[in-house]
Amino acid sequence: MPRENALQGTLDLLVLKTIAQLGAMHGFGIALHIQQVSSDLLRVEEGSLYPALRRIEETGWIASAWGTTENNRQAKYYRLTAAGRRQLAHEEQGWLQLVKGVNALLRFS
Amino acid sequence: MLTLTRIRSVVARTLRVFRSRAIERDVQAEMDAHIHMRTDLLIERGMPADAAGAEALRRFGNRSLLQEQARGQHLLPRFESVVQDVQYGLRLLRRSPGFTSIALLTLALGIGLNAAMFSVFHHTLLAPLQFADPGRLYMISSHAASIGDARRASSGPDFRDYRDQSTVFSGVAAAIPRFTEVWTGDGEPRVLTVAATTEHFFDVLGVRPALGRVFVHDEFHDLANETVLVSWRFWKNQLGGDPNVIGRTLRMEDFPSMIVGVLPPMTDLYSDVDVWVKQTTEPAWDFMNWRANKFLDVVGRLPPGVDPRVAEQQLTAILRRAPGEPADVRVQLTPLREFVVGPVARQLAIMMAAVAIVLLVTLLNTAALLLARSIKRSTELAVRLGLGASRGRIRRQLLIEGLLLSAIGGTLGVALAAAAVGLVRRAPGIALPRIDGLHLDTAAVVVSVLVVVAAAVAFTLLPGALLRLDLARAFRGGRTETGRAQRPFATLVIGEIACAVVLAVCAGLLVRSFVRVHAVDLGYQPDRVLSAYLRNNYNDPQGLPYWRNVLEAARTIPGTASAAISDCVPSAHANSATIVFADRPNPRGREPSTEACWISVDYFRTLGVPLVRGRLFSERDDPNSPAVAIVNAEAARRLFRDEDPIGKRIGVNYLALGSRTADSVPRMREIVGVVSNIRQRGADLAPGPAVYLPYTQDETYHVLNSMYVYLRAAGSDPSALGRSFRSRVQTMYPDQPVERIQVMRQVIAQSIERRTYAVMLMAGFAGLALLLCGLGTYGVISYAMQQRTREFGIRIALGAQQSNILRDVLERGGLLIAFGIVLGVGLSLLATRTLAQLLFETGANDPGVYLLAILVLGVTGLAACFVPALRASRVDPRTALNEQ
Repeated sequence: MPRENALQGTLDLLVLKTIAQLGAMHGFGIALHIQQVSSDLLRVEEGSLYPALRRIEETGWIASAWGTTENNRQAKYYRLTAAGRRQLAHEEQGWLQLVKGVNALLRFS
Repeated sequence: MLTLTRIRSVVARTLRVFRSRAIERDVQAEMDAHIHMRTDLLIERGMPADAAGAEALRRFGNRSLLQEQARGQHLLPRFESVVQDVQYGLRLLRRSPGFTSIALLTLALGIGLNAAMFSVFHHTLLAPLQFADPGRLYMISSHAASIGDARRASSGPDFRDYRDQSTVFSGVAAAIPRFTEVWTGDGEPRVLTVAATTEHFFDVLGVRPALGRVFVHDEFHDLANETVLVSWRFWKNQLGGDPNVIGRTLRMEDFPSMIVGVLPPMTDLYSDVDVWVKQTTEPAWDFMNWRANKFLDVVGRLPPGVDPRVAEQQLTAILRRAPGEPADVRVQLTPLREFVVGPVARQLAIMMAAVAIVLLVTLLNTAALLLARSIKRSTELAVRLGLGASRGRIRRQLLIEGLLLSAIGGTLGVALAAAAVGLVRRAPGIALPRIDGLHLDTAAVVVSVLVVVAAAVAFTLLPGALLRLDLARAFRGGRTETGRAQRPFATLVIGEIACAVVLAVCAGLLVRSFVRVHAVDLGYQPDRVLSAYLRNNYNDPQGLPYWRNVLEAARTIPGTASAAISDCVPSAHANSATIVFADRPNPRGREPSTEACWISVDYFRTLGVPLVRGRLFSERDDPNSPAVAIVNAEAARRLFRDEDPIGKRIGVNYLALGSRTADSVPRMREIVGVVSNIRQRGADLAPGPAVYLPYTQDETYHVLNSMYVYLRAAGSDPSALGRSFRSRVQTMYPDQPVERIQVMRQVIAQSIERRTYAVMLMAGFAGLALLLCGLGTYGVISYAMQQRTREFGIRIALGAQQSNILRDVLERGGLLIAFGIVLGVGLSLLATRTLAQLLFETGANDPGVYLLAILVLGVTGLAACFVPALRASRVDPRTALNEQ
């Protein structure tokens, strides 16, 4: 399923980058951030973030702990692990390279 | 690519399988929090509370699906869904009890029979004998084409020559396998089964005593001091397993014998022997010196690396040097295992093959059932496929269902096999060698498990491969049309019918043989005759008054018409003799061989055998009168051709153990009568030439110590005479055991016991195959008709007659059945050749049996088609069309 992998990879990059930018953050915050920053570019179901978070946590790139929000709600906060930081750098690199390649292709006419 | 990260993730997930509840709660809480926060935000932006809640839920998406997915991240997906599939499969099996019970019953029977039969087969034929390095043990025998090529055991001189002159063996020993002695002094007198061994016999076999010791060298030279060994079984059953049995005395043949050892269980050789005695190889006993008196079993052990053919050559050279042996005599080394199991090997192999065919039918049947069911479920499967289940997952689920079914069926089958094996072991009179140690063995269970797994895979891959899980077609109406989709069913039905034909033909041939054996003219009238066995200590003229008294006692029992004695048992046993003639040259080693019996005056009258010519014996034929003989018609024909045998003089060399005249020329006897033939050695063995001699004229007196008594009842039931006879004999001779009291019909039944079992088993297998075949055909045709309900509805709506539809269905079914029968007949023609040995006056290609098998299968098959056909022809067009 190559297509699914590419999409998944992109979502992973967004999630990792968001957590890196926000520090520790809960799922709702991450979803909100991605939607705002990408100008609602990602019109996915908000809930579909959670399987992704689970998966990324399994891989060991992020870690989670229950905490309290400003509105006094219990929420699970995610933060980046060392492996996550390395992976983020790696994926950013990969993304830039892909963009560069696609740009080069688009300009070639 | 298996990176470290991935391994860690797999490990973590595996661990979390065991705490999935907690994870589920965790995921739920997290999602709740999200929805609450979104609701809070929406309210903050001015949305009413209830609308905000609904909007938050909408934005979140399919919550339970996502929850499932998130949770799925934690688990090894395979493991979890396997559990699901098993649960689902069990639910499905419970939901269709009819299908489930038929499938399980079929599998259990097929697998159970197979495991049981394989246990017997493996234990009897394949398992090594329970001796040290048993592959190096051989039984030594000889045969010569010039004297009929029959296998001959060895004589005392043969054995001494082998032992002293051969260089190839690491050990040679001999035994007299079986004779009887009387045991007195411990309660009721009994007849014991005794074997005698030469020195080193147990060393050669590698058998060590369980208690005490075996015979030692000096004992073979000191015959005055009798010592004996007892078998494990005798020690357990008759001596109560007494731990202090060593040194105890058994009174045998009126002599005290001291027990010096208990042998371990010997189920593989001479397992029925109670007591072992020594047999000196030195000429202490005359009969050990007679070259032609071949009654010894000689066992040799070859050292590793020695080819038995080399040993055969050497022993042949040795035997050819012996006086009186034919020039073309050959010595043969038979592996000991073959010697033990040879007589039943073929029959067991045939039964094993029959069971394998039953198993095949079983599997075909189950495959057909599962296939039909999975096609019936094709709509369900297509819907699941449409909802996103992967093909792999569906295939896996089918596989798990198949495995589940086979696992339950297999378990039942193994339980059934254990029961069946117990039955075989305990059943009276199953005359199988090595039966004592029979158990359901691991190999059988392993093979059954393999069969089960193979079955599961086959059941699944078949439907999996055949079912293309065609989404579009399934939704179009959920019905496959006739034609292509039914081809696999056709194959299964044809295969089943072909297998059933083969079994039916085999069973038919055996049954026909069995009926012929029962209807055969035995040559005597067994119905009112009772027999009993007497063994005494007389080897001298004192035996003559003893037998006269016994006969007198028997004759005067009220209700007895006549009584006689003989060392032969009609339909079971006769000794052999070679004949020399007074009026023609008798080339040495070429003497004709006949059956030979010592009899009393009324033998033929008691058994109801007609006299053809001359006279019967009378009381005047006693030890002092001229020696006489009677021959049967077959002997008259073969030995005298066109001449009249009455008045001819012959000498009879009696070949039984210990009761043979020495090698010198036997005394001449005048033939005084010819009787008609009787089947002397077995109801299913053609009568051979036979000579009968008056027991009073055995100059060695050996026959006097062991004979059978026959009583003909005046009324119709002879069995009542047994008790009076025993009490009358024991009044005169209190220590005289009276054993084997049986009516002749029982004796005859025992002589064809193996045949009886073969018939029962084969008929059972064939019946089972027929039943399965009927069920399978019914199921498949029903299914096919159901698929065509719509077509029938249309045809009936267009005016087709009921009879047209009926005929159409029956034709279609009939075609399959015909194909199956043709295939089955072809296979049978090949298969029945192997049966030839078990047949009796029945050709392997007996057309009657084939016709009957074809008829039975044809009728069964058509009957199985008829019900569904009838149902199809009564389809109501309106409902049929609406249903679709």
